[in-house]
Amino acid sequence: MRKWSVISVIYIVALILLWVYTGRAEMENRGFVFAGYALTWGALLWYAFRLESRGRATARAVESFEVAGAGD
Amino acid sequence: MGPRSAVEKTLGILAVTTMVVGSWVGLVVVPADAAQGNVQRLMYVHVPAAWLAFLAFFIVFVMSVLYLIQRDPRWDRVGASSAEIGVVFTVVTLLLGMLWGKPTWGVYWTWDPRLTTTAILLAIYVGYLALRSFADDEEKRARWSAIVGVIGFVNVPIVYMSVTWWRTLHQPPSSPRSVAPDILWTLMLNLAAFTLVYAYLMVRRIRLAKLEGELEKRMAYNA
Repeated sequence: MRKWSVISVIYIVALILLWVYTGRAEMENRGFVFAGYALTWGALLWYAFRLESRGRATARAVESFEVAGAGD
Repeated sequence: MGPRSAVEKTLGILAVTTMVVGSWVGLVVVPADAAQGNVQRLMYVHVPAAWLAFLAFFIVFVMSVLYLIQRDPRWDRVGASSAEIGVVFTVVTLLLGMLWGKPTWGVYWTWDPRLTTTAILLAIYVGYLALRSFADDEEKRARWSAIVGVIGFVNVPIVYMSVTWWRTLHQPPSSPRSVAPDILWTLMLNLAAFTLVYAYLMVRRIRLAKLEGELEKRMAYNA
């Protein structure tokens, strides 16, 4: 989970940098460009996180059967 | 979920690196489009996301055909993994299209042929995933999914050709001859980045699918 806390902080810093950059570059439609990139990075990171947490939960469930089997 | 393989780690590092470089080039290096201005920068994520959704559903189609011929559950696992990732890319494509559409067309959504057929594509593969959660029997689930995976793919060429077949707000497909070199190589760089992200997510999702299969077997054995 520590890894994902670090990734979340990096993501937020990247969003701040993107917002500052689009402002300094005086981009027209800045909000749309910002939202598009934030959404893309966010969706891919969220899905990678979901895969990892689902994997951990499934592995725990498989292990619980192994422990139950060993006790029989 | 067990230790990661060297392939998975390498793919992860390559995917993140190329995504960072691709986004930086798309946002900072390449000049704004002469006609559309800076909002055209959304193309560097919108188009690769759409192409990867098509690739993901093509993999579903191939795996579905292989499953129907060989009845090997490995093909079902790969197909289902690709369908899930394809749905993520399709949602990203639609949302990015809406963000690009508002400043360009004046609306977030319109029942344009390209947008409508893409929404249908999303509905088909969300249905594919829902179908998998309904069926308890592994063989039946794989067979039904494979049939949907084959029939559902018919919509992919329809989505691609929709801008040619019908009158539409969406721009027609671009070719290397119709796009400036700066835009083209930035697009190709981001396409490579998205392909690496897809490959990385596939490796992880297939590993999860194997684990889910193992859990299902143990639950059935203990029932």
